[in-house]
Amino acid sequence: MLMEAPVELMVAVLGQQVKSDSAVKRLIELDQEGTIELLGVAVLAKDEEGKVTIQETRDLNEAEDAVLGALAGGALGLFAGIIGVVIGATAGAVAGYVTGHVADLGMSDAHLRALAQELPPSTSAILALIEHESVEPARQELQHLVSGLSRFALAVEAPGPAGEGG
Amino acid sequence: MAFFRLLAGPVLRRAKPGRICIWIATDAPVSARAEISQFPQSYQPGGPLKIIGASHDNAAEARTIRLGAQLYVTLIQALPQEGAFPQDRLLAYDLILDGRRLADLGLLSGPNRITYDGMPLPTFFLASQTSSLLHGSCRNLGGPGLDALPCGDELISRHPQELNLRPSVLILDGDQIYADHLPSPLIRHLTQLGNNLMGWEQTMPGIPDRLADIPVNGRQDLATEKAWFTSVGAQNQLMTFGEFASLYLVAWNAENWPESFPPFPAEKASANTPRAEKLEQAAKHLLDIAEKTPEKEYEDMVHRLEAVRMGMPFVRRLLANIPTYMIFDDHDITDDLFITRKWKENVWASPTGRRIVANGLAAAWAFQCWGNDPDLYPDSFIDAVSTHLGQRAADEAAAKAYEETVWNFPDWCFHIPVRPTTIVMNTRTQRGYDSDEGAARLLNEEGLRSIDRAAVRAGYRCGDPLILVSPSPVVGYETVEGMQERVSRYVGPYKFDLEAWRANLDGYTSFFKYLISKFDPRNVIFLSGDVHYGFTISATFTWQNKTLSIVQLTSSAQKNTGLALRLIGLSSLFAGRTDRHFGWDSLAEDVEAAEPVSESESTHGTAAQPAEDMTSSARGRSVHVVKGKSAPMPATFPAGAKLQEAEPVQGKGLPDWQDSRTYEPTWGYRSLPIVGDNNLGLLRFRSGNLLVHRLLIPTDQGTRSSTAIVRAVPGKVILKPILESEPADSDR
Repeated sequence: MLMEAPVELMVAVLGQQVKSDSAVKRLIELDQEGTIELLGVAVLAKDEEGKVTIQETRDLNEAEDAVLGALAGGALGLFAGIIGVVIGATAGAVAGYVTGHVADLGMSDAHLRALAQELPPSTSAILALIEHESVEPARQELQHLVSGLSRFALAVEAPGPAGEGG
Repeated sequence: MAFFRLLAGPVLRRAKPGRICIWIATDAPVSARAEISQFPQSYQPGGPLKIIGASHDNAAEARTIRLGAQLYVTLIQALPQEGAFPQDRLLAYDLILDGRRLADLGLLSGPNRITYDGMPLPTFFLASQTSSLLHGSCRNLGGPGLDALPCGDELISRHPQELNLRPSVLILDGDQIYADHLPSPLIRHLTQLGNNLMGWEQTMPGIPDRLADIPVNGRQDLATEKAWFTSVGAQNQLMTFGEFASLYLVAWNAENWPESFPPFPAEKASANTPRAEKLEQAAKHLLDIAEKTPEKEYEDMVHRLEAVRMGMPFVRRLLANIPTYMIFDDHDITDDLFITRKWKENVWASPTGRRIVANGLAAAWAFQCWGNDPDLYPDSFIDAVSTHLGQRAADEAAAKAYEETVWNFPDWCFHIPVRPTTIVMNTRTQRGYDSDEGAARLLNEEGLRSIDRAAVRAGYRCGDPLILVSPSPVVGYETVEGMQERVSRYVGPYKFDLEAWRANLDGYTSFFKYLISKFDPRNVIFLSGDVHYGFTISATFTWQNKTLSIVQLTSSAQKNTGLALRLIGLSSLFAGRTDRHFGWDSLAEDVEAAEPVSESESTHGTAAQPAEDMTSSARGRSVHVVKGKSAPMPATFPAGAKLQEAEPVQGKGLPDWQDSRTYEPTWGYRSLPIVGDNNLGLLRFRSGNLLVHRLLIPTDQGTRSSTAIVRAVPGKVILKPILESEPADSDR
């Protein structure tokens, strides 16, 4: 019987001086090539003063998308491009796709805070929702950029109370 | 020796451990056999395969139906040599048709190759438990945008031997062809090809003209006034069985296409623009994007078709390499098929309309449904079809039997032999009508019994998870469904397709009550299409203290996008994330809808879902439904209304039922809850009760995707560490 594999959250801490957007861009390229199946990406960044931000990403590469994206961005606070604008610090509410999912799907603000605390200044970490089978090729591709990597399997823990929506 | 011509196929159809079905269409009867082989555990290209099953050239294992003088469809059924075909192992097949193998037919190399790199034959596997599947709908060859069906082929080509990533089933859940909205450059070709296939020049009751003499784009009036159809895109409505059959052959095999399309016809006919497309063109005109004359429109259609032609080899290869199941919807025959009682009665009363519908359904049987489960179609059904078509329609008694048999056939619904139990519902021909032109129940009592029978055949056990395929989404996008309902009050049910499940509230709630009381499933996944946009919804339906957990996955269209649909997608940014409804079972003639609460109060939830349960990022919106006499429209008002506030109005206590639908965000090419691009759906079942629904979107830069992750069952999602942080490359 084929075993069902998990959806994973891959947290890849980038080395100092490594630009997160180049790493994210490469992941998205791998997804577009079909090498991996990426389900969402965000970047947790800490600047040299210790301020932490989370950046959501989108995959926009058509002029038409840019128009639609800009229109949509007006409502969401995003702008078109590979990296969206800062959504909020970890202490605040998280509303982006990956961070929203990370929050919805099990990673609490406390998790994010702890992760952010461990992050050295002027570094960033990629938060990638990714298919299990894609982790290894993604890691191989990023290994020269990454100083540490953690993986988490996502799972629904227990049925909710009657009447609660899924 | 005269050779036959393979018109379409092979298409891999019903496949299970006890039997593999392969469908072909030929221009002459052939002796047909199949061999099923198994790959060794570690296969090296060029290595031998072990034959583990075969079919024999007899009527039971290779049944051929003559549909026309030069049109034969054959369903080959291969059986295992011992026991059962293995599950979760890569299998392959070869065909021997009049002694010629697939290689001899030019299908293993060259432009018509139906194999993937490193594979000696077309391949597939039988999953013991569905791990991933493809689904999609609405493939209008002349529709805007790129064809999404080849995206499925591209996916398999990346993982031909990786069964954990290769989808095991393809479900086409409606509008596999567009018999109306036909691209004008095709109509003459289909009429001619149809006559050639049937061996005679077909005519239609009530239409004295030769069909070949009807101008291009000249069938709208015939469709409206002779057939009583309500499609506004019927300028080239297919009519004869030969025309319907020809479109299937064109949709699945580029070898049936004309070498080139004729220039814009000299004769003028009515405008060739469906209303929705006119609106889109008007919008484009306003944006100064395009201005279309009929000639330009024709040219554009030729360009669209030529783009489809480029991808046709991949479509053929896909259909040859994955067990494929199909259910028809309205456009497979004509828009609005059986939408209202009045539509059905009018068309049945029209000799022209009655025959077109019979021809469309018979073609859907031969090309789509027969291979779903051949055991469902008794000889009496097949005889009625083949007898009429074989007699050049001259025998009135045979024609009558043909029409009555096809119109009234009860068992289009079937189960797919996989786990979890998967049942494909027929929501088109077994509808219930509460009034002449009110919205229909998409399933009447007989339709529900069809599901019962399919569940029994599937061996379903109460409490198991359940996958139900419904061409139309059972749980839809509130903004559009609400607009359809409101607009239809003024313009009638046909212009904006008033046929969502919820448009008939009794039908909608009865269906869920039926599911809860009959099956009590652990959870339900609906796979749907139809609406020309894709989405992922988490939903619930609560009744008698039982809450059904629902995931609605919709993939549409494979090829029929447009600016209006992209704008619908964009609208989802501004819609609420969650919509809720509630209502009462008993009639309440004296009840008025509750007064809308002010917008300022529309923040968080209802008593059914307390505010504190909602995330701060969710902008709630509720819909209050008051049940009325006949297919009532829901009264809507912004979120914030408390259930208790409705009680004094209703005077009936707490509602008997309530539902919720939450639009799941997506990530990727369109980070929108509603995706208006052409797409093909990929569903992956992940451990931990999670589903990944990936809409594969064809673009000029290659396949892109928009992905949603959704819980299969309610509950809190946790993160389980897989490994701790580890050092990476030390030189950084």
